[in-house]
Amino acid sequence: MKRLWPLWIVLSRAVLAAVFVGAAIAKINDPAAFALSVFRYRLLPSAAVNAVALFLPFVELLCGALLVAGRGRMRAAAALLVSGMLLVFTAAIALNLLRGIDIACGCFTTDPAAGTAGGWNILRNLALLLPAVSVLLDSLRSPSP
Amino acid sequence: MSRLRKQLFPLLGACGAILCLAAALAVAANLVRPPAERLPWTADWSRHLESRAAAAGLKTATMPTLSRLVAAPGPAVLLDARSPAAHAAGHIPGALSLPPGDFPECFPLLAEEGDWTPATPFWVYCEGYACDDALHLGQTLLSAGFPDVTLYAGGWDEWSRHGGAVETEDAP
Repeated sequence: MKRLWPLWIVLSRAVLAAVFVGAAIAKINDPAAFALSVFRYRLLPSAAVNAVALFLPFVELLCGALLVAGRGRMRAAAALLVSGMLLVFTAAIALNLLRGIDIACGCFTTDPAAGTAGGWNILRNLALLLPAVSVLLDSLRSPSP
Repeated sequence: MSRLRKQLFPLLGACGAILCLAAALAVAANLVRPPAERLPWTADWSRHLESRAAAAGLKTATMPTLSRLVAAPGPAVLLDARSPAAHAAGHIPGALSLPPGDFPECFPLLAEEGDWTPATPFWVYCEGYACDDALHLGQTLLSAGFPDVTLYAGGWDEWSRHGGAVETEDAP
């Protein structure tokens, strides 16, 4: 198990970075469509929708990049933010499922023909939490640069 | 535990640095976009068609959900609130033409023919986000005692641009 841990961490960093950078690029390319996705969650005040739609993709992009290229504390911070985002996204999807609001996830694409948000998105986010928390713990254990 | 506590403030500081850098990049990226593609930092989404529909008591739906409805038609009735000419030129499969202005004359006939009851689910659409004919039709249906009304706000514009199935002959 001890010998597999470094491999698990490398894989986790690579997968999370690919997921978050990929998700960020689609949103940065079409901020208006992503703002519509954010609005459809009906969780934010109207005035905050565009600001979040412009800001969030860059948090995802930086975190993705730092999970691969960052070291020590910066990598730990990226893993912490990624874990937080996954928890918030999961709660947002779950809340809308409970409220019966039909929305697209808006996670990796802003294409209106893409699938609707559902249980699969929640499972995927929860599954991604495991590598994110692993990277966080591993980065906190290693000495900071 | 004490080691974790010692690391907490530097870790939160690093998170803050990432968030500040992300904010700076977001501002810069929005500034370098062509003016037509720039997104204003604030907007009044309460005036968006879907907000008005929710306030009026209508449900809203996305294109994939409507695609599933079109692929496996059930008791739901799909109503096209655009002009009869636009409907004849192309519409979402199975949709019946019913512009809101024609409601008083046409709805009783259609309801009798289709055996519609207050339990019948209705789906309404028009051109897209910029038109509110479907919203008006939905509100009229609600006032007429049909409580199950869903607005497809993306409308014909979104449906036809994103590869939705199209029926070109006029509905019988």
